[in-house]
Amino acid sequence: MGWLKRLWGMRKRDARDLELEEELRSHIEMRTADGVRGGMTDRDAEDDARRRFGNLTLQKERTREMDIVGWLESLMKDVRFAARSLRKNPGFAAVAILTLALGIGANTAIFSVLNGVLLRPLPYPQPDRLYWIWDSQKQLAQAPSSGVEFLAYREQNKTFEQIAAIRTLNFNLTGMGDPERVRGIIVSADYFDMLGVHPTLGRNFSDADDKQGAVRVALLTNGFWQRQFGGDPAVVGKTLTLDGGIVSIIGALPADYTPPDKAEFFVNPIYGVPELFSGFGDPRNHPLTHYLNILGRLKPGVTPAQAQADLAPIIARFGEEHPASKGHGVALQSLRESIVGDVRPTLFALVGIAGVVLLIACANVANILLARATTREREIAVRAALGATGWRLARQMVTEGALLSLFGGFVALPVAAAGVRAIVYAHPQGLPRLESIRLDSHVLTFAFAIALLTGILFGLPTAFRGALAAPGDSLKQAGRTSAGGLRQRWLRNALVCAEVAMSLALLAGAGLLTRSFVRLLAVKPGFRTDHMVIFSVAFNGPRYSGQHAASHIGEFQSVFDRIGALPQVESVAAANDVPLESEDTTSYPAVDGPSALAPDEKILVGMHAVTNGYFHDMGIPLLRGREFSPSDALRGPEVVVINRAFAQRVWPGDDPLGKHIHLFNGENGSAEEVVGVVDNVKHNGLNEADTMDVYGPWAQQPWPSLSVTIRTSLPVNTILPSVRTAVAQFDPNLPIYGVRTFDDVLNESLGARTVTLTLVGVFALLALMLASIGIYGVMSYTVAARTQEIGIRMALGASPGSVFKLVLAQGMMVTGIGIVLGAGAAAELAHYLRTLLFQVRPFDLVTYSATALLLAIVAFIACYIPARRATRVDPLVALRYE
Amino acid sequence: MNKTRNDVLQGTLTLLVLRTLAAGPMHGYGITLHIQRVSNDVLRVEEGSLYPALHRMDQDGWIAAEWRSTENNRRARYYGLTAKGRKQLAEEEKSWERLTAAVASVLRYA
Repeated sequence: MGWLKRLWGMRKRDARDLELEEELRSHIEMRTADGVRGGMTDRDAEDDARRRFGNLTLQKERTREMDIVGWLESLMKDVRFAARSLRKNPGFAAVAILTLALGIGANTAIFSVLNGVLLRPLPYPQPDRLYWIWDSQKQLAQAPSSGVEFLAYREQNKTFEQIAAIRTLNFNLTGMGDPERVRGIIVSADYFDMLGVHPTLGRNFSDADDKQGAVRVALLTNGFWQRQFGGDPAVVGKTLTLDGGIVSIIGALPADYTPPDKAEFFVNPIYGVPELFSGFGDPRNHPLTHYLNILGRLKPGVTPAQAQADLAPIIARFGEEHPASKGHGVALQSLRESIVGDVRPTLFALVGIAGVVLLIACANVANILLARATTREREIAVRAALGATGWRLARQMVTEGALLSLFGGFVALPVAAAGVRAIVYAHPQGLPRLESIRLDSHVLTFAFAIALLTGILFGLPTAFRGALAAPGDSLKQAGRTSAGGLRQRWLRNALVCAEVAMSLALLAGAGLLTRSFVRLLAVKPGFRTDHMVIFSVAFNGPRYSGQHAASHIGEFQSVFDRIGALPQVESVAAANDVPLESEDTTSYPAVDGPSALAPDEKILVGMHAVTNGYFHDMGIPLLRGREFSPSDALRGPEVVVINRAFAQRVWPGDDPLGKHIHLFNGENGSAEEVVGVVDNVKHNGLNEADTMDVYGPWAQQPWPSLSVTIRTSLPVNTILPSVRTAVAQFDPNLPIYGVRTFDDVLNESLGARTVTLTLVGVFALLALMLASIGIYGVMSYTVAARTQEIGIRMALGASPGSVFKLVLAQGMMVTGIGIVLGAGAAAELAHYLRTLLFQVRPFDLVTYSATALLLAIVAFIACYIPARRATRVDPLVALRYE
Repeated sequence: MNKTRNDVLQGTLTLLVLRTLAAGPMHGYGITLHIQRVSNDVLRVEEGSLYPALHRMDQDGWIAAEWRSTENNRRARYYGLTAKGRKQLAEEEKSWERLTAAVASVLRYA
């Protein structure tokens, strides 16, 4: 247990030091005394004794290391020494720490996101046992299922512990002040039980609630409970009026439960839900309506493949009995994958980019350290002569590096915190699990580890230099501070070259994304986008269901008229959805008569119901035929307008007017006549390919939800009260929601792209800044170190101009090599960015040239100042300069 | 000072010190003199390098130290062999004999 003794020895360090001193000294004195006795002079005897003893200081240190937990104490010494030397050079220390703080902070922020989104497990017990059970069709890999299929899976499966169903719906909430549009989720009773979530107030859903015809009950989310009821515990037993139906509140969910889709409450049962497709009847009468998403918990030990094999025959049997579902299969997807799958590649790309920025920061600090090491050559040489081993010198350098980076890491924490707050505040679209993103213990550990690692990383080049120092050389070179020898210059230039290359790669990436973004914005959406004020209504409730639903909804025309009559309103158009925001309602219509389709071929079309004059109001060019008009009334002959893509696919080269299609297979058996052809519109997004669309008159297809587009020069806030009044006059219990302009629609549509572009752009600019500081630093140092050489040149007749060119040329050459290398790296990496690019090739000449030029200009500026300084060197001063 | 000889000596320093102290406690200078004298001046140690070794053996528990006065009334730190040290000495002597026997047999092999 020698080490215990050593630990104990740490206590009385000073006393032990004195003792050791005395012991060694007494040895020398005894030897001296013997020498004197043997006839030597005092002086000679002492010299002899000392010579025989060897290096007193060295042996003292080595002995001390034996007495104490050796490396710990000398490490502390190294740390103190490093701290002192940093304090003596505050400027250098500040630059290094700030550089590191930026690099480490950015990486920590990105890691927080990675940790929260990908690494932390979902907040349910054994979350990796939870799987979605999707209906898979040929054209749609993951579709919802019907109630009948859900029950079939539940009763006939052998591989799941529990299976629940869930569906997000929007409701009109009335009876609590102004009518409001709210989002709720209908669930089967065992949903929360399966997830291991229990209400903090009241009770959970039970099997008794889960029957058709049972009283509808609701569990509130904590947010809704606080907002609407102020957290009042007496809320149990109160009711909500949703779409005119009464729902009884049975409890509230915990505050730390984050509902999917930002829902406000959960309703049970899933059957008999207020009419989902009002024009098409009650889903109870249509067991085949596919509206349920099914989630199941696998039994322990069961693999997804086994579950898949278990469920496949169930749906096959179902397909036999219900021909409409023939050919459908089942597809399993883990819950985790559904939440984070899409965002994974982008996150990894961001981690890579942040890592590159950190490398650049490290290269900068390494360069600074190297430069400083050259000025400390003398000191290092002396220490080596005094007996410091290469290992000790290297350790000193690494300690200094580690200290710098630990400080940097410390300062990085507020940077990271700010970054995380910014990201969460921006709540970018498509980034799931925002609530899990925070600076937790994992993230802090990561920050600490990264800081330590970077410290060692950039301490290494200096450490090697220190360890390999041949003390004699630098001591003999008194008076000639070279630029550190050829190897050192090469190392510094190589570091700068690497920085330039990495910066170019990042800038090129940002450039490509920017170009894609610009190209995207330039895409013609296919309709008029100016002066739009949009709002939505949803016709839910008893007034809009049943027999007279269509005519009641049709009366909304009065609202259109009233708004249209307002001053400064150019037109009012309405449809079930707004382009770029498509609800993605689709159908596989059947086509009458000869067409370009194969006999069994089905095509997927988007369905839209629009008001009369819609195409004109929305600025969608009418290519053939006519718009819808009042003559296309509810009971009249059913008509449709198709778009160019549909016409070209189904009846190429033929006149589509007068042809017939069946939009609603077999439901009412009637056919619709094509009366017009309009140009294509980007319904699903600017970056999506053109879809085939079929438009029907709203009068004939009164969809239960409507988005109204008002073309007006008035700002939103001015016209909104009049709109509310008009709607309230029609039905005071009908909420309007989603008030927006086209810009809002566009921003929503581009949301995720904007965030990615912003982040990459920020990192690229950071990299550029760091690289330019790096170039400036190295060039400055080189000039200062070569002052003598420049002085000699000028004394020998070189003009200031040629000196200027010399320095500049050296800097630009290093930059040039870096740019070429960077371009190569960028082209390789751009390959991975492929999915994010839009109409831009990974090796886009314009982008690469522009970024190379930008980098060259920045490098030029960074070299300019040191080069100018070089020309001002006074040869006489320089020659005397030591 | 012959460097190579010094290296060999450092390796066996522990053994030499333990053997020296088997006869009785001594201070560092005394150990140095003893080794020099008994080996007829063939074995010379860089005297300073003795002390790290002594302190290490102290930590390992093979020797124990205390301050005493010398014959000349000078204060010096004396080291003595412990029981553990005696055991260590026996082991090291054994392995040394094994080593030298092995070297000898290799040398004898013609």
